[in-house]
Amino acid sequence: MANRNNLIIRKILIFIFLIIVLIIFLFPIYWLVLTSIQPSGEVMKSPPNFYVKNLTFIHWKFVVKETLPQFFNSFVISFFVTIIAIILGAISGYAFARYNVGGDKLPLWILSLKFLPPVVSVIPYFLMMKTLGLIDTRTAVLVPHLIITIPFAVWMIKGFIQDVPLELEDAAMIDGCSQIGVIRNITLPLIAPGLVVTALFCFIWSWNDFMFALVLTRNQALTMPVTVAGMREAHGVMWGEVSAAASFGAIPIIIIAIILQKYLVRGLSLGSFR
Amino acid sequence: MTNIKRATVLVLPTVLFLVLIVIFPMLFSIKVAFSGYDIRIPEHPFVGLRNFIYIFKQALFYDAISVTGIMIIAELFFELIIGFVLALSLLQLPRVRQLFQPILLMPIMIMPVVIGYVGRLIFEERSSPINYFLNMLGFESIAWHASTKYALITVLILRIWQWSPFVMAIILAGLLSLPREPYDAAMVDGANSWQTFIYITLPLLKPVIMLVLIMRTLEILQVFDIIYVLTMGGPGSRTTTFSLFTYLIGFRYWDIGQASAAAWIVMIPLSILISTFVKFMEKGEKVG
Amino acid sequence: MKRLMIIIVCFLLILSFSLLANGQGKPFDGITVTAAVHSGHQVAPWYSEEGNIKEKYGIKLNVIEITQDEMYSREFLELTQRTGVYDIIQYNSAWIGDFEPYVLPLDDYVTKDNDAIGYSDILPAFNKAQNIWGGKRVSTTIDGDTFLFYYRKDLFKDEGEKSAFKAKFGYELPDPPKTWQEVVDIAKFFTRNKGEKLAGRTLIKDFYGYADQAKRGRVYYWYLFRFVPFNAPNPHYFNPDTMEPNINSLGSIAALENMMELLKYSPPGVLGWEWDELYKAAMGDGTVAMWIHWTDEGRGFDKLTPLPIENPPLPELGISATPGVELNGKLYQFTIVDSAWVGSICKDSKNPDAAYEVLKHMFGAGPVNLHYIMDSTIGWDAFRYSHFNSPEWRQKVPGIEKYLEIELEALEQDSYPMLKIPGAFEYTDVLDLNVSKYLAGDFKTAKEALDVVASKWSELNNKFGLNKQKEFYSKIW
Repeated sequence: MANRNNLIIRKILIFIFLIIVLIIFLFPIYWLVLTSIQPSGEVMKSPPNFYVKNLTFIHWKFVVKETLPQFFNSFVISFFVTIIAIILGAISGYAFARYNVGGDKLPLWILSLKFLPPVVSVIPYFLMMKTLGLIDTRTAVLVPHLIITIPFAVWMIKGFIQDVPLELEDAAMIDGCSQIGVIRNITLPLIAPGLVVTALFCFIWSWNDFMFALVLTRNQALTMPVTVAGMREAHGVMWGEVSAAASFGAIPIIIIAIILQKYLVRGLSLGSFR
Repeated sequence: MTNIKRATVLVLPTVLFLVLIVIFPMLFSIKVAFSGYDIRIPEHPFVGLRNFIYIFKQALFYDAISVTGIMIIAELFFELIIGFVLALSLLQLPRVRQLFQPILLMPIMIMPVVIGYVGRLIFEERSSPINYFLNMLGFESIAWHASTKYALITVLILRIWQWSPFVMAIILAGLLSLPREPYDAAMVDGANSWQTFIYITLPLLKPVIMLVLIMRTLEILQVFDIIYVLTMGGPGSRTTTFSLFTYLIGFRYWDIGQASAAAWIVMIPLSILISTFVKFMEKGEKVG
Repeated sequence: MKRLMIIIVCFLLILSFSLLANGQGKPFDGITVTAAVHSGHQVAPWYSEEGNIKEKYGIKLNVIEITQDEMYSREFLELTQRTGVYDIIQYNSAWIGDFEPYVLPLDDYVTKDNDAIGYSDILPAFNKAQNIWGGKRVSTTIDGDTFLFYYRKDLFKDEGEKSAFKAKFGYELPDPPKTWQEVVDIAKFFTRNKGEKLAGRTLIKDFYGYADQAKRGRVYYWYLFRFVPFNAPNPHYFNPDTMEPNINSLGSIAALENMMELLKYSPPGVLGWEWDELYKAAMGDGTVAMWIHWTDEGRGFDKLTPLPIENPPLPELGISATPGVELNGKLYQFTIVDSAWVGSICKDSKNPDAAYEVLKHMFGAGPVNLHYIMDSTIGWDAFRYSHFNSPEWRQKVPGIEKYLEIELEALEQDSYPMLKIPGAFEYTDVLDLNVSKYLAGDFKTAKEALDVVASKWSELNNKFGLNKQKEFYSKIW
């Protein structure tokens, strides 16, 4: 009995702690949304506005009307980057984790691709895409994004697979399961949370990229971050529009994260936590 | 076909693809690091180590390295702790997790450029809501990113705020993947939660933690938008990171040769460091 | 014979048909002109005129927006890689040193149509600082950006403060201030804490005498405002004969020390201030007595908030040329003309004639251009005599003549260009970095900081080629 009460108290305390953390973490987001629904003149006031004094949707209207093409471009690019990265990452990750393909060297080489700073690789990619006639296409932006996300996906999935004990897979095989069956029924459900998180972050990374999108697009394949960077008045920043655009841009990611939440649970009763 | 051969086939498409799209940029950056590259002229004369020597002679280079080094250490430390605490907390409350995790992940869904803008809004000395709270509690206003003392701290605050949820999410996913047997055994042996954590959870999470540390380090090396918008590397060079340093050289001065040289100067020791780290961690794994 | 007649008739028929066809069609039917322009509010006129340009000339306008900070890199990349994508580029004329090989001089067009675009209507200050390079017209002004000195005239008019100032410093409070030394005295005088008295009434906020936009990245502008007059009577970035940097001369050092001095009377956040922060503090909060900025305050003079005191007087914005220096009894004042923004035709353009028509339409002297200049949301500033003297503008915005006349006066006296040699970015960024470091306390003396800049500038001279730079430098003048 005492144990049960202790557990409940503990859970309540943790809950309160999380609420406080949530408030702190959400404060800048709150500020962002606040800025997006007030006139730009309310920005940087002393003392600052903690709540909406003059509600206006003029920035949101502007953003939704004007940036829909870029929104679409960003979405398409990020979507395909994620799919490709996860698929390639999963099959390679499994091979590295279970069969040690290439020993130490190969996985490390893949990881090392993330070391190259974008600044340095931007010109070669421009030249490559120019030769292929691909400048200002979504494909052009997709390619350098893959250089960054595939190594991430490979290593993430490799790591999560390594966490699944071999005994589990061996036991299933002894029970008569085929290799594919093992992967489908044992490994995949166990690494589902890892896959989900990796996919989410691949998407986020690609969505937020600025440098490659800037250099490889002109006006057809523009993405959200490049457009937001250009929201300037004569000298000042278009604060309302920028905040609305950023909030607008976060919406698909939030939706995807909520949808993927389902998969962030143990797929199997083998798991110790649910 | 043996298993290894089959597995190699799995890896092949990925590796081929990566090689295809990375080979030109990689070779380009090496060639260019050793040449005098003026984007206007097609000829790029070989200049040996001149670019490298030039980088080493610049005071700003060392400033950038030290700022980046401080950032890496501070961010890894705080993000790991905060991420762990949050992940463990969410672990205990599965029903709440569904709602809270996406919300907590919001900082990372905002474009980094805009995070810089938000920084300008909440940290501007005169109009900062944070200063407003400080004043209410009786403290003096801080100049935050305009202050020589607090500029880097301000950047760190924003960065840790932005990325701790990332660490939390990965660690949480790792925790959810852990097998049950060791915990059952521990309970039978009468271990308390702290012991379970130190002797079972942590070792099992080693690959995940290692991953997080490596990924964060690589990302911190490329931090750009926040710095660019919030401080532009200032005041002075207080917040000039290595990435800003290479950006200015490569994108504003258009000295691609020097920018590549600078990139390689940092990449080589870093890759040695990271591969040693990885080998060390993986060795522990195989033995255990 | 008969065959010859048939041939002649056919030829005449064809001739008359083609003449008819030309008469019906527009001059540039079916041609697309691509313009690379500054995104944000500044792009609006291009989209507004798209329809008119199609209707009038048959030209299809293709607008490529580029974010302000990346214009240099993006355009430079396309130009040097000769992609031929742009017909027109909008850019900062400070980059002409780098862009020169890729830009088409416009003199031939101007002679051909007898200056229909109206260079003679553009103020000489802008032609000199922005459009003329090595004696040739390489661009046309898009934005007459320039810098003006602003101050709280309502405060300066207060009798109590005036007598207090005279009592303390021994001379009349100058309205407007004319020298940097006066600015220092006035700043010191007016910097007061919340609770103290200003203009006889209690301050409800801290009040500061002066503020610069001192954030790394732009602070070098605010240094140049001192650099130029402190090096009077003949200021130069380099010695024109030897290309030896002049950035660490005695005048230059005094200029930097002036910046440090005024930091004492500035709000604590200035080292992080970009455009918005300074504008908000000065115009929105009213807590700054004097500052230098672009033309936006002048155009929006009625947006000035009252002084942060109880029962403040009616707010009044004072505008004048940027302060100078007095040397041997003579006052030297300069107005720095910002090199942005100008428009040029690219050499690689396939339709330069059409591009020129577009430039003429958008920026030539006339009602189209005036309309956008008058619209303060766009951010294009006046640069023509027809703008400054416009009766429509005076009618549209009562009171604007004050600002227009003062700016005209400021530009007609000594104007000064920004540095425009190849690699201008690097030169000015090195200056910016070390000015910022000095203000952050990383150097003990101004001389130390500027010596570093001078040696860096010499290095850059050698990197780009001393004689080449000398040649380019002479083209500025």
